[in-house]
Amino acid sequence: MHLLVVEDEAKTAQFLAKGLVESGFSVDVALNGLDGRHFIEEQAYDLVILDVMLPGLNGWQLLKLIRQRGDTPVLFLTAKDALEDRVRGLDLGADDYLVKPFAFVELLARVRTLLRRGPAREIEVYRIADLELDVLRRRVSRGGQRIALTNKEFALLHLLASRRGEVLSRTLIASQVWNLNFDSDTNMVEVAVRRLRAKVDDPYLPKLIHTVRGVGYQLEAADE
Amino acid sequence: MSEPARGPSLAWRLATAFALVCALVLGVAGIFLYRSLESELVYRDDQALLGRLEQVRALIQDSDSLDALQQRPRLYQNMLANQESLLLVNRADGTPVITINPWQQALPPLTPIAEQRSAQASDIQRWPTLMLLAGATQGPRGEALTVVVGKRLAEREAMLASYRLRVYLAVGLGGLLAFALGLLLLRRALWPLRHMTETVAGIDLRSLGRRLQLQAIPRELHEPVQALNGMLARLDESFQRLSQFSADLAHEIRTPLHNLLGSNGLALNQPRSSAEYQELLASNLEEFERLNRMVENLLFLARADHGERLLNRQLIELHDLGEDLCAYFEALAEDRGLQLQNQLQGSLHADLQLVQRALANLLANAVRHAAAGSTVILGAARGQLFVSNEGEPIGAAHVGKLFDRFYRVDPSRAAPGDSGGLGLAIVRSIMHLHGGTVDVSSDEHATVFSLVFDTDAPRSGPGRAPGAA
Repeated sequence: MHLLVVEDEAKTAQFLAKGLVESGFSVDVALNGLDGRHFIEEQAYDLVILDVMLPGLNGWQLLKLIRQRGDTPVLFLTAKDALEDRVRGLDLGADDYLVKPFAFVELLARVRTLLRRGPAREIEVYRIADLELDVLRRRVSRGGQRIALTNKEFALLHLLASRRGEVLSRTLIASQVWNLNFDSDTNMVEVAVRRLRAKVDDPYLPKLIHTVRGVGYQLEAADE
Repeated sequence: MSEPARGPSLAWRLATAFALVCALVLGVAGIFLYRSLESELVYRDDQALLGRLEQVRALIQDSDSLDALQQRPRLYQNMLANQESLLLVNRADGTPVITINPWQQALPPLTPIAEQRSAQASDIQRWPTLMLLAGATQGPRGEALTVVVGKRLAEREAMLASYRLRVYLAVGLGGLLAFALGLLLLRRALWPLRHMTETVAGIDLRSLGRRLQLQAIPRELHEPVQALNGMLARLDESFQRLSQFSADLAHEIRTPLHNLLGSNGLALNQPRSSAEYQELLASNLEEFERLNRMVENLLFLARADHGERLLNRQLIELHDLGEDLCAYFEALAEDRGLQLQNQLQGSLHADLQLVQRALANLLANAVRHAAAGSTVILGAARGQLFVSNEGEPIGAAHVGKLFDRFYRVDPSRAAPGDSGGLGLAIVRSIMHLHGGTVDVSSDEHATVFSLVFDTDAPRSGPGRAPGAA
């Protein structure tokens, strides 16, 4: 996957590129709007990450240029979380936006979601190591043993399984599982994950639910 | 420094009004007096003229002969006493017997009144500069004679003209005097205003506690001065809060910064294993998140205060909202042996995200402070949403400040996961955005926080709903 990052703040651009490369993407970086236009005109990208405030050409102008050339997904980065900025960005055809400052996992999750868009295949049964999650029958078992989960515990496990390998932030989990769309100040997600773990992970090996400290949670079978 | 005053001066306007009123009064009085004088003079001239005609008639009738009359013109001249008067006695054929006409005034033709009739004021014939009266009489030998008496009016006119001039002068000078005196008096009367201005101009941030003194100020200005003092008091209070807020903010920021500086400095002190570095970075990340959350919350509050955040109102199904919230807090509540009860019913027209946030903040507090084994209730009644929990009551001293930023009932209980003392401030801002209020009541039975959306609805005392106690 080939990505373009247009961001004038050098440190931000650097950590974005580094993180995306480590996550398996190939990345071009433009530090101003004119370089950005050059890249856009010369190459085809699977996704463009655009800062709004740019020297040379600003994000809105680049967005128009991109839209004239096709429907490459565009993720907007903005320091202002004023409502009109968001509305304007989405009106002009941005696919998503992220307000600075953001955690890198948050960006990664959005990027993956945008790239995954299109005909999504609804998976009916997830199998991770000896964990089995049957979406239709709402059943979970491990090593053939049925595990009884509450609705929210099931929703949480389903979310982790459907984004297997990705680190999911607490904010994302709160919004997907509990429908709460604000940056939570409380550690409810932590408590919920702990309780899920107690049922799904603690009595078994290998451990599947991993805490990435300060970042979020991840469901993955360890490589060993 | 200051902009030049654009509005008209109050003193000048009032002084001008004084001057106009004064001139008007003087003018009316002057016209009245002038008219009186004029009619008096006319009356006296008329009487003099009528008397003279009778005198001359009598004299002629009593005289021996016309010749004798003609020989004594001095007599008539003396009788007339001044140069303004004229006297003519003519025979019926028009030849003059006596002519005293110092100005050689040409006379228009006259119709004399009959001999037997005595003259009246209406018989006098008038021109702008002349009045004449003619009468028939008989001479000593029975011959018909015409007597004409008259008076030139030049002297009278000159006198009236000078009188008019004096009236004009009185009006003009009176007006000017009234203006000058009025200006002087008004300036003096407005002196307290200037004094007030100086006092107000002397008030700055360090002397916000100063107030304007009412004693030295005229009664008419008491109301504005009291309003001004009220404004100063409110500014003073807001400023105190702002100062307190800045101090608190600095303190809140210092804690994570202190942690970051300390742990990073220590880590760089000597080589560490990569596991130790990882541990450090993760710990740093937590502190940064804490700072980030604080900034986000403060930004939210600032925007809400300025009314910048637009409300995205929609119809909210309250029961579903309550279910989501209870599910979210369920795990934590169970850990603490608490029951969560969702009694929310019906629907509400409000911003879903903000209502969620407000209720979540209240629930987080309730779960944190509820007595172990008790029940936390989320309910609705009469346009209000409430969260109630049993537990230690909140002291009355705290209630007023509970919704201030960074205010904590117990400063030592600042848990790392809490909202950093901003949770209730955010709740209040959210309610302000909705045009509502947040109330709190606390006693030994329960602590109830109520979100009052419909401030018009009748309220029942402390906002406790049935079943909440």
